[in-house]
Amino acid sequence: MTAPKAGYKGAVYIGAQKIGGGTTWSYDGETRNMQDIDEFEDEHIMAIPMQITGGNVTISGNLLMGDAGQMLLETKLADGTPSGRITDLKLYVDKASNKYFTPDPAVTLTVDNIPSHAVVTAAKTIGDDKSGVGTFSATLRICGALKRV
Amino acid sequence: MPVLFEAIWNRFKATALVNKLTELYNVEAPPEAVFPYGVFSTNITADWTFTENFEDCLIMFVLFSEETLATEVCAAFEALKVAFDFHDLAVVGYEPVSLERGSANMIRVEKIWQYNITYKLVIQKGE
Repeated sequence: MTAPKAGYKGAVYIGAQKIGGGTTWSYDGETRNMQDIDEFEDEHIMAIPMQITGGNVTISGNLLMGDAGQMLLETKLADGTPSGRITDLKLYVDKASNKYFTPDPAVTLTVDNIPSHAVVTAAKTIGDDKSGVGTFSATLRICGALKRV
Repeated sequence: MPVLFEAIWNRFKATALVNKLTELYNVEAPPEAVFPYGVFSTNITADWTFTENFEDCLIMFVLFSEETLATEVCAAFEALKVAFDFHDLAVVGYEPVSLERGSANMIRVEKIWQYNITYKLVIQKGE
């Protein structure tokens, strides 16, 4: 039997670095591109499957000014080189029992063998409200695929 | 659900909470109960999906102390938090899903401190 996991058991890590202040992570999922193959006088659109596109991961929560994890996201955003690729992202659904999603190293680019990874496409998305607390969010694009661990 | 009662009591016995209370009673304490003691009660709602059977359980603890100061009952409350907050409660025949503390209300009635604490427990029935 597999029981669902309580949300409070989740976490987000890059390697051993925890993204502090996080309260929510979400992945909008992989999608398969479709190419129309219908033509004039066809009543219905027909399409054939093309490539699969990785989706976007959004991490959000409470802004922590001194948090190394939140600052690491900003550093990764600024790094447009290969070192900016994040292969060890872990989106935990249960940290204690080590259940998470991570870029799948088995999914690679054919030519130069680049494995699946995440790239930070938005960071320092911040806000504050006098009736609440400061907030942050970041977005990462998945290049390749995520897998369940 | 005796298995739930046993799970709560076993958790009580396995943690430092056992050093803060003389006993933890189910629903009602006997007249000879010695302060400080605790009482718990449960309110269970079945939650069905297509393929799973969940039990949504509201657990209510009441901690009693007759000391003049609130120190004793507050110490018991702190131990209760350590024992139960986010704990995977081992209920025989069920998988733990979540255990979250809700409200906590301290009052004093006829020179007796009462700390009322609620928890929401979700468990899933095993196959």
